[in-house]
Amino acid sequence: MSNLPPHILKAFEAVVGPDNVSDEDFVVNCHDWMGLGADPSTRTLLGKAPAAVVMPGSTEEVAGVVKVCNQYKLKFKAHSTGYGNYSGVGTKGSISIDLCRMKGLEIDPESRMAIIQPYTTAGELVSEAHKHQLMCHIIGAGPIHSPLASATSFVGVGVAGNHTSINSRNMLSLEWVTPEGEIVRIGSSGSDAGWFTGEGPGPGFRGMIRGLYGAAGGLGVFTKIGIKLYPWAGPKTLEWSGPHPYRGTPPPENFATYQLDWDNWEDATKATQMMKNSKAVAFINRMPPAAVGHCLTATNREYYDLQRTGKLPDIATKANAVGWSVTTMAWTKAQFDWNEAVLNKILAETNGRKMDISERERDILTAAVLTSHYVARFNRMGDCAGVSMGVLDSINLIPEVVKRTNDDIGDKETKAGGKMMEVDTEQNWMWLSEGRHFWTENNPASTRSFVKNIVACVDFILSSFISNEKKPLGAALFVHGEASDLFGPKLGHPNKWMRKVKNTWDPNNLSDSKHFIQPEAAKESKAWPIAKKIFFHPWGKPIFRKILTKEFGKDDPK
Amino acid sequence: MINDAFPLPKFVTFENATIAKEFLGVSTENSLKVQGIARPEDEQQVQQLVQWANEHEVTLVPLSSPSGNRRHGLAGLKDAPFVVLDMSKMSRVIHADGEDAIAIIEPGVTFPEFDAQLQKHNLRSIKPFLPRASKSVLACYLEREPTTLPNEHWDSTDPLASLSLTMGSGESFRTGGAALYEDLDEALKNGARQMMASGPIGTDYTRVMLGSQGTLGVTSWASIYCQRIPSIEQGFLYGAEDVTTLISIVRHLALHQLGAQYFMLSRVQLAAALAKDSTHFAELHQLFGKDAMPAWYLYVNIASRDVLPEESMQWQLADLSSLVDTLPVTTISQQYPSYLAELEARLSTPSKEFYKDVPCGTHTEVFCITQMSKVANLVNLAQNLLADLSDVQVGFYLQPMIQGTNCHLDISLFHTDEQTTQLADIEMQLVKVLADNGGFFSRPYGKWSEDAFARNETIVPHLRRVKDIFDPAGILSPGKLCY
Repeated sequence: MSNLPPHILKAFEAVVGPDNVSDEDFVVNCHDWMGLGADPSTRTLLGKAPAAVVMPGSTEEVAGVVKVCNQYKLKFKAHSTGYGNYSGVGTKGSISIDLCRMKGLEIDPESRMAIIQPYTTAGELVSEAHKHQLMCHIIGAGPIHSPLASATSFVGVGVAGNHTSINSRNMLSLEWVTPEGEIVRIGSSGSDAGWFTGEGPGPGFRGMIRGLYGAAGGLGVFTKIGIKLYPWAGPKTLEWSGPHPYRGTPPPENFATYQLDWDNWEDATKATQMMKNSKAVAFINRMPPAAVGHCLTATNREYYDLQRTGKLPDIATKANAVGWSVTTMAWTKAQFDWNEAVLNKILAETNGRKMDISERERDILTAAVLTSHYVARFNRMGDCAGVSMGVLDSINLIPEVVKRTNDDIGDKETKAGGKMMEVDTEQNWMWLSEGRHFWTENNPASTRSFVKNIVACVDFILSSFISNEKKPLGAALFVHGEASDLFGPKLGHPNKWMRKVKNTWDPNNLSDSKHFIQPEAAKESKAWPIAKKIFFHPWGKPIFRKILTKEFGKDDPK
Repeated sequence: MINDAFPLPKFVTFENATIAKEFLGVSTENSLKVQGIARPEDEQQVQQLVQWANEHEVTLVPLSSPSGNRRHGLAGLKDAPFVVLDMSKMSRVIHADGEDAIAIIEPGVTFPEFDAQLQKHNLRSIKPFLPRASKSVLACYLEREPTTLPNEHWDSTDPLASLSLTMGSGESFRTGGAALYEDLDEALKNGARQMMASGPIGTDYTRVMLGSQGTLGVTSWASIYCQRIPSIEQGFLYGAEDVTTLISIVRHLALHQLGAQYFMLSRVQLAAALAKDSTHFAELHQLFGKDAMPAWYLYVNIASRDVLPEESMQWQLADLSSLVDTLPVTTISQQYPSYLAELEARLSTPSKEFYKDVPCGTHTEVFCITQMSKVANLVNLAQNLLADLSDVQVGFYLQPMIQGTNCHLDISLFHTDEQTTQLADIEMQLVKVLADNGGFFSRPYGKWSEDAFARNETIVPHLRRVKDIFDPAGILSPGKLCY
């Protein structure tokens, strides 16, 4: 039980009904665990249980709950399907506004869009969309994620992005409960014209509150959006093959999936430009070989045994270090044949080849890209680190991005085979986006069970941000929260403008996310320009690691 | 206000009100309270000028097109003194990359100038429907004017990506990928192409600036997506009596991702698009009636893909035919190939005069966006409302947007100067009818904005906060929107 006074619990009950408010330990503690790790530490819980969980069933109830929070100056944070630590409240004792009762889903096939609420999952949306020859974008969190949350609040990228873009760009009109509890409809829905566009009248207001990264719950609650859907030439229901947990999707009629391979990234990049400009490949993504291995195996033990005995299939080893998984999609046999011919011609001109893969492997790769079903499996290796560069810029940067992640950032401590991870290539997840640019995330795994791993991870993440600051290779996406003040100055001070937005729309600082800018810059950010020169100098790093070891050691139960 | 109490800026070319009026295309007797015209030549001068305007409380109205009829640039301005910020002297195409199909340009670049530079990189600009030759490319995109390539229109920010801005406060800011480097030359040398609109971090101010009608910031350069020139392309002009027949083809084009350019026109709008002058318009109008030409037209341009282009044309044409052959559609491009040829010539080479002013000397227009499923009904409602208008020709242009998710509905009343006043009421009646039935005025100019903001009063205080953040002294184009 929390220390929340009874009259405040009553105030919440008056808005949502007594069955939809709880401060029971088992409820609030469940909201302290968010699957994808906690803050950098050896803890598995965030250590920030909310004081109560409140479950509104409508936008008006959300607004009512936020107003109660404002009345009693309680911090709050929206929660939809809850994939990672960013879903939890930012501060112990906040109110978790769990949106699980709001699961509306309406498809408008003629306008290629849907209208959804926060608890509609991507799995539900794509299943309905397929019935209308449409599909939705599914982010890396997989079919369980909330497309509304990813569109309004957090990143929104996924491996199918070449065909289905990014959810922040897929969002159309939106409904927002401000941090002070006002209901605002942005774009066409604000004029009762429907949910088909997010801009206007006049300026695109949503650009103030969404951004590239998203406010991650730091700017109120989003309750309903229009979302764009994409063409789907496949069947109304996906066919599945293989026993659980090796479930795969045989490529539907007029689809084909291949694992393509080159000797070097220069050739692969040339081929990538050709594939992009030909539009013959709908889905093009690269899972690092170790991640492919985790998709193909059911358990860590199975992966470990196969890896140690050298029995992993080629696509899960260094043999597949330079390559793409591609899936073509066609509406007619003639288009399918052209896709095949184009792919073969590109491979012939760029010294590329199709790897031999089994039907099971093919089906799992297909499921991975069409549904993001398997992306989360790479977390089985551990979690913690994740950086990005090369974000949404020229495909021609790919070789340099891979080189940077492979050589420049890694040192003895953090490179593949070092203290942080034991795999044989860098861990770049890459995919094309909108047939224009590419995205990459270097996500080296690390167990969080040991302080030395956490330290190596933090070192790695900050080193990569600093490296990208010196010579940018696209945006370093995972700069957010308090790090905005560390790395913002080199980006033209977006942190300054974000802070104006935060303080304008959330004057009481109640919308509680540690993944968005804070009302005031942390003291450490002032010292950062000097500190980074000291701590990331070769002789300063051991000192930095010692400080981190001491800091994270506080959480270590061992 | 400009007066003798402070000196005019010396860091920028500054000219008097007479020259400013000439630039605006109004007579010297016009009561417009324009005080002068400032002509910056680089970003630093823009920033200095905005800071100067803040210091001396001078209102600036940024305009980018070097000449021509300013349809929206002055609409809705407060009746107060202002200085024109003429951005047309900044007219460099800074960079173009054929492989990534992206370029960086300044505000004064026009479509013909842009295309001339892009051609060297096997690129061409993504155009709105028949812009005048002197139209600023950047201004078109900043206004969210729809382009004729809906399948390349992923999001409402397209084809714009990053912007280099001077906010109304005088502070500089770069959006998206442009924020990564301070030095643009260094960025380009290192392979960065400023391809991202959103960001950095928690900002997406490209999106905010679009549609702001110059009230929040001034853009000095921007990265812009372009179209790779296909090795083979073939245009078609289909005609039908019922617009819904053509809408069903448009849905197919969007779903199967066929075609590069496509849009729909009514018979009058097609005549306006093809007309060389008012006499020619009258002739075409008469001829179309005599030949019993269909009421509605769909232009589609099928473009080859980069690899195996001939083969790519074959399957695309077969796919298109599989639907068109089943519908009550006339292939006008077969019957009257000259109409297709003339339309394509107009599409690729902008004319000096804006096409809507050719038929009768001037025009009144109303446009909104809606959904493909609602647009036929809006057309009907507009036709009913305008049925009794005499001596005015009414044309319709329907532009699918955002890969078929939206549709721009553009209604033009072609008329003489003398008729302008008497059509003011019908213009606002049309705005109301459209807005009452699912038309959304995302780009509300002049009088339309009152209706648009009355329909969403809750957004108004939030937009005013945006204005306070970016332009706290309110020096940029006051009165144009709800602030």
